[in-house]
Parts: sequence; structure tokens; C-alpha cells
Amino acid sequence: MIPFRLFTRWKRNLMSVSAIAVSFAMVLSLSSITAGLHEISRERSESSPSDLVISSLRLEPSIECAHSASMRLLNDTRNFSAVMPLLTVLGTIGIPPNDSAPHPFSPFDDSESEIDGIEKEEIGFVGLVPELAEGFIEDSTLKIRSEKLRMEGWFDEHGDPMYDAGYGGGWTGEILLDDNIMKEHGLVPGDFVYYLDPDGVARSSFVIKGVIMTSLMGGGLSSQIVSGIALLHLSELQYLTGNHFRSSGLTNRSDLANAVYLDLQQGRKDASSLRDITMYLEGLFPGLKVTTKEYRIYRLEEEVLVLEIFSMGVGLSTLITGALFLASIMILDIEDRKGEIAIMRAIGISRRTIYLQILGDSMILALLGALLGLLPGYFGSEYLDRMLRSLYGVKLSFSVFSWELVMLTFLFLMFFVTISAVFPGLRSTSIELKRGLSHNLYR
Amino acid sequence: MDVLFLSNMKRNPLRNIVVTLAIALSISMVMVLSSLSVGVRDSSRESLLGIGADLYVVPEDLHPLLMDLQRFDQGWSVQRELQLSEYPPSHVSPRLSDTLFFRIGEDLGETITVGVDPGEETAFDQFMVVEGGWFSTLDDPLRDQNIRNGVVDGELMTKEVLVSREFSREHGLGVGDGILLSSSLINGTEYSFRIEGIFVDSLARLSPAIIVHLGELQFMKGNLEKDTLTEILLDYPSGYDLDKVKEWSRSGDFKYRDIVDILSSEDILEEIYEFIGIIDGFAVMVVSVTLFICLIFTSTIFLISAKERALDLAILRAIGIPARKIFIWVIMESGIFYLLGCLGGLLLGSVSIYLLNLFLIDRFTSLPEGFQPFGINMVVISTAVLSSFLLALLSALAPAVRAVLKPPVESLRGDVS
Repeated sequence: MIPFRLFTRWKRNLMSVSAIAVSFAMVLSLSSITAGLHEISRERSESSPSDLVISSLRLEPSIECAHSASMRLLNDTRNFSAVMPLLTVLGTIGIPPNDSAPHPFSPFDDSESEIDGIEKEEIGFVGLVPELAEGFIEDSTLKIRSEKLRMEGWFDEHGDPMYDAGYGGGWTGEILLDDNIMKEHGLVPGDFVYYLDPDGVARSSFVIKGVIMTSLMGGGLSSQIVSGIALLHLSELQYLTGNHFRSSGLTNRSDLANAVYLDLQQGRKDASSLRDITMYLEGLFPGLKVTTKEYRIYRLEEEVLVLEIFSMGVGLSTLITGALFLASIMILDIEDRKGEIAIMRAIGISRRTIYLQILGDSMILALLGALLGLLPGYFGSEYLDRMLRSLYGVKLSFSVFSWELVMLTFLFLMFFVTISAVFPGLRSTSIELKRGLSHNLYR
Repeated sequence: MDVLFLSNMKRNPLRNIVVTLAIALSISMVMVLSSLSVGVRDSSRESLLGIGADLYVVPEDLHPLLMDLQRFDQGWSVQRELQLSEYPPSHVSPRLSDTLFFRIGEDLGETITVGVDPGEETAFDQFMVVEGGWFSTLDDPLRDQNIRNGVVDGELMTKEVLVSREFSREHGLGVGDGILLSSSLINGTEYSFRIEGIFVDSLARLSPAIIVHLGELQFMKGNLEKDTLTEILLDYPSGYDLDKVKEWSRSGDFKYRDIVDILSSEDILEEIYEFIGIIDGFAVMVVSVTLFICLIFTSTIFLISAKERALDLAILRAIGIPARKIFIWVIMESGIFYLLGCLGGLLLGSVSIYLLNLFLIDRFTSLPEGFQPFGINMVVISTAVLSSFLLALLSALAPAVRAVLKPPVESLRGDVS
């Protein structure tokens, strides 16, 4: 299959094949990362938690009467199938030494006692109403801010008794804690942890009711920001963070949250209904953002686009360098084969056939390079995937290696090779018979 | 003799153009990739140092990327402790970053709001007034009153506001216009503020935001009593030993060491650089592969070229030209290719960097004023030039050795036969 003439100058052809192989391997690795990022974005878009989200700027809890408004919306069964208010705050959890005795207390007890040997972890607290959140749970998985939280165990108390008691009682002290933190500190369901206020004082104890598995691995750069996630009753988190009631000047705000997720009834998901419902919600929650799934998908795709463009740009530049190399080799080849080509012309072989032969040679070398670069490309993408995972500390697949991707990269390579073979090809067809034959004679 | 080598380069113009082009492409890629981390590093550094603060008081164990999301209470007590310490700063600017609801006619929404002490804030350069003026009341009457006697009187509000250029553009506002601000649009009191000026935030060039007196923001958000802050900027007289201040802040002498940390710009940058390190690792990997391909490419071409000219070289050796000189000529020839390629690469790289910056700045409106994701400095240029130099040397080594080691007789015999 491989023409014999390619063996006659095997050293230079071997170098071309090697260069193409390295280019192909790098482009393949980078493309797999691009595809991986795209896949992460697609998955996040698909796991976009709900049809509509009412949210405040940054993480400020600006949504007032979140729980009560959610209950009202839930009664609107014509439009909404599920509603969930959320409060997300960054805070500190205190983990007592393994051998310490349980010390249960609520913020209503005057028991801000000193707990010795407590270890601190910065985590993201998510307050929710279990029975409302259940409407968003599928296969033990709850999606919050495009993050999938898989749960083992759940709250014993499904309601939010503290809210029902007007923040004056009904403390449950239940918490679901991140798997990473549980493992790191040897915790098991039933153990106690403490909520620490910004001054580092334990304000209440929590009993672990279940484990949450997230994409966080408990290491890497992400762990420097938060070590994990914890779920607790909305009203309890509101109370601990002062978001149950805030008095400011002549304004009193209560039951504060920073997001409300809404799922629409099947017949209300068309564009016109969506517009009407969005306007209705904007009136109900003045000044707050009401975003649709499409908008959030668009924003996610925007985030990934730049990375995609960058890695594709780098990959293509490498591919072009490889193709230029091949073009140079083909030019050299034609110089060397001037006489041979002249003889071919003299015996009546058409310019088209000669052109196709040059193109064919380029393609064969490119194909060999691609075959040689396939395995290093695969291992390169695996290596990058592992490196990015441990660096960021997240359980996400940063690379997607598929045959479609290999074919696409190969087609790109062939495209550049075809373009780069144009000039050598044309040059080969323009060799003058007389000069070519004399070249042969004097060699 | 040198002319002989230069004229040889004219012999295969097409091949030489392609080689130079490939070198230029590789060098431009080296430049673009090394400029990415340099750009992000330099711009972050410039943006942060441009604020003019020597030290920052931030909530304890705070990651710099979460700077505006975490707060600490007892702001005034911390501030006072610092001012009365043996290391008193010359300027202390407390800040609170929060959000407020606004109403401008029918237009309503929520916006990022920074509360500042106007008098102290003038010592720092994060907010640059581009139209109108700064606050006319440089004191912070509401906060001062609360600190003095714990009394809060809304009547003392100055109701002065500065809006960012982007905010003024978005809502068609100008200096002197009015804007209603509140912490709640449902049942809250809305306060009518007057726009005193339009500013640009050097850390968030195109973000819509507003600035009000710190006490007024705390009052509207219900944080005045606790005097909640996100940060305190400290400015020290020049020549001050900042490490001693940091050391003191971690010692038992500083009462609030369990709720705040005192960080220098360098400490904050160090944490940011850790994230940038990912770019470095990626860039080094891609650059290495690119340079490797370029090396294979040029070595092969130079080897073939040397082989083609085996007879020329043999004759030169035969007429007494020393091997050392021939060796240097071959290296020089490669150097000329790389010099041209490097110049082309620097040009191509600079254009690419310019276009990439344009694209990214247009795309990411929240980038700080003057932030250049890709930056060119001496390190970037030196990396490109050194890579060229190294590759020129490495790729010419095999052809040069071959030119010197192959006995001239053998080459001449080959030609005769």
C-alpha cells in the first residue's frame, strides 16, 4: 500500500511522520480537553436545577419572605409543580475530637461553651426546606447551582419547624455533611459537629443525619476556598446567620434567602407562558433577577467558549507547523525527483496524475503520523485529565476521548495537509520536460 | 566565504520561506503562551498595587477570591486598635461591599454597593472620579454618631451617591440626577440620593456599581450596630516595616487576631498566583511540544541541505578552509533562519496578543481597568529569543557535525563516480 518511493528517502519521511505524530498527539490531547470542557458545560446545563430561578446579586440574601412566598407559589398548581427556597452562605464548621463526649445544644441554650480541640473547616452551608427540596430530588440527587449533590440519608424532620414556630423554637439541629469532611475527620452519621460564628464561637451543635457526595474531592485548589458542603434546615441557617430577621432603619426584612428554584407544570413551559410567568415573578420579587434555563445555559456556554477557542487555536497552530513540515519535505522530494517526474511526463502520464501522486504521498505520510500519534494522544489526554482533576480538586472528567474526536482531528489534519500539498503539487506539474530530463542526466 | 553561505540561502527560496514561516509560527506560539501567565500576573499585580494600600484587614482565613463575600463585625474596634497600636497607619479606610435595590422611574433592580469613609478613601486610588466630583461630605456622620453614642438618626444621612460609568450608561444617569435606594423594594423605606459623581473602579472596569457613605449603607442594611465590614485598607508612611505590623497582628497584642487577618498585597497576590500556576504548567507543556516539532522540522531540513551541499563543503575543506570555520558557517546559516523566524514570530505573536486582548476585554466586561490578560514584557521577549537561539544551535548541530566529520575525499569521490 505504501509506495516504494517513500522508502527510498526513509530518513526524512520518518522525521516527517514523527513530527506529524507529535502534532497529532498534541492536537488530540487538547481537543479532548476542549471536548471535556464542553461536556462539563453541557452536563451543567442539563443539570440546571429548575425551569426558573429567582436570585439575588452575588450571594447576598436579598429575597424576602422566601419560605412564605414559596409556599404561596406552590399553591399556584396551575403554573408551578415544585418550589424551593435556598440560602447559601460560606461559614465555618467545628469538628470536635473523636474521643470527645457529645455536647448537644441549640442557639436558644446559653451554652456557648468552650469546646477543646475543635477543628475548623470552611464550608458552604445550604439551607433548604426538606419537604420542598424533595420535589427537586431525582435518584437521591439534588441539583443546586448546577452542582449535583448525591445523598445518603435525609433529614428526619421533613418540614421546617423553626419557621413554623416563628423562629422561636422547633430547633432540629440536623445536618447532612460532605463525604470528604466526614472521611477526613472520621465522622459517621449520628456524630456531632458545631456551627461556628465569625468570631469562632460555637453557636449550636448539629447531629449528622446523612452524607452528601459532590464533585469536590477534598483537595486541590477548590479545597482552599471550601472544604465541602453541608445541608441544613433553612430557618436554622437563617437564624444562625441573622437572616431570619433584619431590622434596618425603618425597614424590617425577614425570612431571607438568596435563591428560589421553580419547576413549571408541563403545559406551562412554552415560550409565551414562560414570558408571562417571568413577568409575574418579577412583579412579585421586585428588583430581583428571574432567569430561565436557556439564559443559564447561554451563560455557561459563554464561560467555556473562550477556553475552547484558546485550546483549539493552540492545537491548530501546532497542526499547521506539522503540515508546513510535510510541505517542505514534499518540496524537497520534488526537487530530488525532478528527473523521474520529467520521465513520467515524457511517457504521457498526465499532470493531474502527478499532482494526485504528490497529494497521495503527503496523505500517506500524514496518515502514518496520525496512526503513530494516536496512542500518545490518548495517554496525553488521560494525563491532562488526571492533572486537572487533582489540581482543581474536583471529580469532573476534563477530557473526553472518542472516535468521533479522533476522526474530526484527523479530518482537520488532512485538510491542512491537502492545502500544504497544493504548492508542491503544482510545482511538480510545472517541471519543464527538458530541464527535468537534463537534471536526471547530470545527477 | 560568508557570502557563499548567504547566496546558498537563495538557492531554494520556497523551501526557505516555508522553514522560516514554520519557525515564525512556533516562536509566535511560544510568545502567546508565555504572555498569558505574564499578562494575568502583571495585570493582577498592577491592579492591586494601584489601589495604593500597604496592608488589608480581612476576615480570618479568607481566600482572596472570596474577598467581597465574607465580613467581620466590630469594624470600629478593629480600626481603633490599629490606630492606637505601636504601628499606627497614616490612613485607615474601612469598607463594606453589599447590595442595595434601586429605583429610577420605572427601572428597578439590585446593584453592588460599596460603603466607604469618603475622607479616608481619598488616600487610595481604586475609585477614580471621571465626571462630577467626590462626596461633598467627607465625614461619615451616621457611623460617627453610632460610634460616639450608639444613637442612629436617619436624619443625618447625606444621601450622596457616586455611580460607576457603566451604571450611569445603563440607566442614562448623570451628575445631579436622583436615585432611590433601599434594602427592600417590598416594604422598605426608599431613600432619595443625589448623584455627586461618576467613577471608574480600577478593579472592576465595567461593573455597574455605586458608592455611598459607609454608615448609610450599614444603616440601610441593618449592619450599623455591629459595624460590619468586608475590609479595611491601611496606608503606612514610606519606609515602614510592614512585616513587623503583620507580626504584631498575629501576636497576642492584637485583640482581634481571631476574627481578622492582616495581609499585604504580596500575600493576596501569592494566593492568586497559585491559580495562575495552572496556566504556567499548561503553557510549558504546549510550548515544549511545539518547540520539539520545530526542532525536528528544522534539523531535518538543515541535514538535507547539508547533504545536498556535501560537494561544496568537501571542496571548501579541500582548498584548506578549516573544519572549525565550516562548522561555524553551518551554525550561522541556521542562526539566520532562526533570526528571521524569530523576528517574524515576534511580529506575529505581538499581533496575536493584541487581538486576543481585544477579544477577551470585549468579552469579559468585569475585568479590571487596564487589565491585559496577555502581556508582553522582557521575560516574554527573552523567552522567544532564547528559544530561537537554542533551537538554532540544536537544529544545526547534526548538519554541522556531519559537514565537518565527513572526509572531503569521500564526498569528492562520490561526485566523480
